[in-house]
Amino acid sequence: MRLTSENNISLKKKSFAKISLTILFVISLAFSITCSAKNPTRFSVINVTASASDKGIQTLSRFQLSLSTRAYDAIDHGVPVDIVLSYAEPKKRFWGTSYKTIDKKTFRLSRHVLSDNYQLHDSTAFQTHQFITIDEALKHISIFQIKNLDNISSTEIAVRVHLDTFNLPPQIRASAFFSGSWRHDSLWTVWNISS
Amino acid sequence: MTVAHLLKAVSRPLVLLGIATLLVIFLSYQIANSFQSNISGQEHYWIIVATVVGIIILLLLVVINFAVLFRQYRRGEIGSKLSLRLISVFLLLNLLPLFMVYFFAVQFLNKGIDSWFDVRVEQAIDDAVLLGETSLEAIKQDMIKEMSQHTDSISNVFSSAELARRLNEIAEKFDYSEITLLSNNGQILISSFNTDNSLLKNAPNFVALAQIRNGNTFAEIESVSEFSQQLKVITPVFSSNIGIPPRALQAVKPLPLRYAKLAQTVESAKKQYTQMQFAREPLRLSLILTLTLISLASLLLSNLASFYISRRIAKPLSVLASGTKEVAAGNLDTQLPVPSNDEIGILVSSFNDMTQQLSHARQLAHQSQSETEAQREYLETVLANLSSGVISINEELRLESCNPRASKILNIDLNNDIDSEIADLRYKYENLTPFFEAIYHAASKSMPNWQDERTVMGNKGKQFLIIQGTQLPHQQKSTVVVFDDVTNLIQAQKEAAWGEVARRLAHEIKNPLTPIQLSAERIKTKFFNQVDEKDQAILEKTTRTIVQQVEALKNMVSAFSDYAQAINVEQKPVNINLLLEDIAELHHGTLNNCQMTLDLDKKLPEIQSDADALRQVFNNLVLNAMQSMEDQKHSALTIISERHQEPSGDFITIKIIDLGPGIKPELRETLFDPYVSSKKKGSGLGLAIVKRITENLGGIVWAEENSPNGTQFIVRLPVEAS
Repeated sequence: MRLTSENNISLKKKSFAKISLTILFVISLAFSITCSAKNPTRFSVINVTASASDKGIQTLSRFQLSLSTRAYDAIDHGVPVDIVLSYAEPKKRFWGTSYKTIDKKTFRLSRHVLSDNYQLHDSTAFQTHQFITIDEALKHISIFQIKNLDNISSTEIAVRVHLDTFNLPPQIRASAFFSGSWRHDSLWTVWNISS
Repeated sequence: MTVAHLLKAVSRPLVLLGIATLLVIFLSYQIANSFQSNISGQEHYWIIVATVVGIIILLLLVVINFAVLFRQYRRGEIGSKLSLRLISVFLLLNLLPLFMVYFFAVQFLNKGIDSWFDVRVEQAIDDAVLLGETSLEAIKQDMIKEMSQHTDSISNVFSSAELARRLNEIAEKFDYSEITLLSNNGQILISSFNTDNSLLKNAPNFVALAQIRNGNTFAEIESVSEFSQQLKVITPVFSSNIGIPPRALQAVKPLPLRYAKLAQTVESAKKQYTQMQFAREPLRLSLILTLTLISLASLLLSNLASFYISRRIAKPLSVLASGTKEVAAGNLDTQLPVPSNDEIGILVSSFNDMTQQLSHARQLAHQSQSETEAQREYLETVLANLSSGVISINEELRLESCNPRASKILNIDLNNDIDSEIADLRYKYENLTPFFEAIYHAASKSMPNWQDERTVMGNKGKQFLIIQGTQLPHQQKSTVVVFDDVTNLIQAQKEAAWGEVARRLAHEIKNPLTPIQLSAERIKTKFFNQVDEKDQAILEKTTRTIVQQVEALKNMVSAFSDYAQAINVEQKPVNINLLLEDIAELHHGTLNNCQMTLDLDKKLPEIQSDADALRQVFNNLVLNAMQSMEDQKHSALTIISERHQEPSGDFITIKIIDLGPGIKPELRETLFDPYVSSKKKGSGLGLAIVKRITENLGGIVWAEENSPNGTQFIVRLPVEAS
């Protein structure tokens, strides 16, 4: 008589049950986190006019940008923040809509200590602008951003503006990832391209 | 190695634990390094997420393991208590140092972060910034003054060539990298620049234009690159000519490299310091969070490892315990897997050897038991079929066992007296007292071998018992007693002796009787006429007496001859009822006032027997009954025939019942012996002949007292001839 076979089967069943429960829990956790991040926060896209021309698609976008107190405080303390405008081609999938990013424009907003001004550096245009206040700098971003886009096959264009927490200084990155006061995201908004 | 083998190897707990440990170490290292700028934010994010997910998985596994262990503990499963104890010890051993390290690390971290911020350092940086700002402001004011002179010089100049010439002179004279005359709305009218500069790059923004339109001077210091800064001043240019719209003069002057570097250093230091000030709490929280995650991961991992280790230790013990349970339940073929080569492995191997030996011993015991059982059955069969009675007596002189024959010989059920003392049996069965007395006497004296003969009173009269006793070889005080009922043997011997006597009597007496009778008759004939009347009378009387006595002797000898004569049995179907009716008819009226009653079973089967012999038996018994009632005024004779079907056989019983005086007690034992009779006449051989014939026909005959008076003779014959 052998006592091992029955014990082994029982242990395998238990292990399988353990692993299944764990996977189920992790999936449900990930799902709930994903669902909770589906709401636009502080940033929004007000209007996008996209028209086709000989040079591609020309977009004219207007945004509503307001920073949290935390973000204001951070900028005042010399923390540079990146505000990213993203343009993407929306594609319908069986699970929803996917967005293939086709272009980006990044503005770095920082405080210049010696001049006590706020600098807004456009990395695409290699231009730096000085502003007395943060709101003036934000206003500069929010009004009529013009962008020429190539290689779009879709009749729609998705636009998003968000504060890029990935590019924050490492010291505050960890807290910014999981803090609501650092969430500034309009999420993707889809607009029709007029011919 | 196939993929299946690889998966199997990887899915082993030890391998999984190893992989998890490596992952935790890697993630901990990465998360600790993520505060340095060589890791991108995205990588940082995913490292944290992976660590948190890993910790959640570990936490779940620990919780599930605890739940399983707790359930096993509640069920009382073998090994669960040991596992729980081991895990508790492991947990305690892990928790204490980990908690201490964590506590001191947090303290150290707090103090370390606080030490970064010193009031003197902050003041120094602020002073440096102020100094830098003052210095830059002075440069700025100098340039604004210069610019007011330049605007005066070109305020009324409208010729493009002249303007270009003057601007070139100004640029060259004051080391401006660029000097540009702008229209009111910011359009470039004329520009002069010394370096490879872009006009677009230095175009005034709407803030500057708004200030100019308001008639104010706009001045700012711009960063061109990491270590280069420039001073930009825009002043309105008003013409004295009426109707001419104001213009703006923009001059850009790079700051001296030394100034720029110093300013940049001060700027950078201030930025870093203020950033650090801002990041003080988030950084503290992040570092504590990181430390907590790493500690938690280590704790959970060590906890999982303790589960694995405790199971690994407890499993062989639980298997061993299960094995011992199996053995206790009688399963001696239990073999356990040897888990390792350590002490536990040796223990399991010893257990396997032990069960193997036990199994072998049990097989031998079974074999021995089977042989003993076979011998016992053989002995029981022998004892059961033995014609002798056998009883055994233990050292306490109690009846231990007996065979069926013993009960049958003694006419009691000895099985009811098992474990009774022999001494008590002497008084319990008074008719068997001599028998038990003999046994008690010999056994109490521990006689090794003994023999005795005793006569006891059985149901059918005296029984002669020969008793032999032997002490058992290995149980000195136990005795086996074998006894035989030799009553029939003695009776047969007696009958044979009587037969021999009868035969000799017949032979020795019968032969001279005829010559005696003839001689007496010849004497009478020859001498009757020769003697006188008186002598004639004497002669007549004596010769008659001789003849009569000879005749009587002849009858007696004939009777003896009949008794001694061998009976030739000729078996044929015999209807007992017809035979009894014939006998009754024959003797009807022989005895005055005798009422004869026949109570015959009509369904009586015919039996295989000798009709003539049976006729003699019944005739003798009826005659015997009638003779016993000769002197009575009222007499009655009843003849009954019945059938008895018993386990031992199918019998016909014939009862001949009289209302005579009954059997005298002194004759009861010898009633069927020759020459035993209570009657005045008769040879005394009638009942002896009845017994002899009946037994020759395979039957038995006995006499019982009839209630209220008289005797009943019972003949029992087998239906099937033996």
